[in-house]
Amino acid sequence: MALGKSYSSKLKSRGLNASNVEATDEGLVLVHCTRAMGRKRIIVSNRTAMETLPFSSNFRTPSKRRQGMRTIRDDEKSLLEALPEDILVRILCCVYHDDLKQLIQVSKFVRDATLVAKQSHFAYSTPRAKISSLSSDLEHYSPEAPNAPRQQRCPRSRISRKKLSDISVALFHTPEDERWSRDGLFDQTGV
Amino acid sequence: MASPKVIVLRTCDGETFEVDESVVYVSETIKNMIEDGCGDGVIPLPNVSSKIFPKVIEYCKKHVSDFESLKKTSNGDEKEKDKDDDSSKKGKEAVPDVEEDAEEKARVEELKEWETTYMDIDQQVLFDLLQAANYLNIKGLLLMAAEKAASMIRGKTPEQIRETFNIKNDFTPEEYEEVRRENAWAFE
Repeated sequence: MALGKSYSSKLKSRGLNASNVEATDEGLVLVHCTRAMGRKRIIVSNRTAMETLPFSSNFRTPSKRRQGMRTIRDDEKSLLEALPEDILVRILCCVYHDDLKQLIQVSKFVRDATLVAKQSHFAYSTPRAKISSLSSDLEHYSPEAPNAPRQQRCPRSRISRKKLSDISVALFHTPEDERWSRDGLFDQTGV
Repeated sequence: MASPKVIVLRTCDGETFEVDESVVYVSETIKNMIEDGCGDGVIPLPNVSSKIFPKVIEYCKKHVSDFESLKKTSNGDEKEKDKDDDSSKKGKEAVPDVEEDAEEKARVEELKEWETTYMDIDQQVLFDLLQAANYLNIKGLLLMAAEKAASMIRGKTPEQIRETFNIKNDFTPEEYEEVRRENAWAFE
């Protein structure tokens, strides 16, 4: 185990065998740890040993985004990405369903905001009807079936009133109805 | 009629603005601060710059009549005639009248035209306006600005969106492919 210079005294005070501690020219301390791991020498620079964890690398991991604010780079400053996420979500709630697919591919920040908007808003709203590219005449455009046969608003009955009167019988007789039905029945029976 | 109370507001860069109380009442945030007793002193607005504040006030002045008529109706008082060129909103049930309908249509048309001119702004101003409207809690302005921003997104490909807003594609090729594959079905 290798440790910073200032630690060597602490180690000695904690009972590590002083003979195992070596001081190098660079100010590092090499300690031969023979207890569990056998002889192992790992040189860690003085500064990093005091400041960082033993297994940290020299590369700094990117800092986490706080509250949707992105660190602004010098050359590339995007105004949209500088917005807080909740405002971007509000904007995205005004776009159409079809645009969501495009938005998730723009960047990671926009994708995250799009997913939030999808869960909170688009999951509860109906997508716009897709307009067929083939139909040029908007008067005949039907959202459900573009090629469906046209139906009249008021379907005409195939049975004429006269035919209906021949085959129908009044169930509940009123004075006027009785006269009518009697005539109709007599016609039918031929009496 | 009592003279309208003037509220003093200070933006984040130290500039002060004196605005009528009825105008700033359009902002829910400022309204709550006044009702909590901050109206006598200077109201600080740490998240609003002096550059964007006049634009916000312009919106508030245009829409103060909407708020005024709602306030008076809820109090049960008679409606006042509005100032400037806004006609008053109908609080009580109006008898259908051709003249009133025509007036209402004209008012809506005029408001639409005003909004088109008002929103003819660049991206920086638009996003400043969004943040200010969000902080000051002015729902109508926030919606209008969000709609404007959304109109710049609708119908565009990812590359076009990146170009419009100067966004860098921070996906690696593998991540990009994964995003496309995973979410293609989710958005059908």
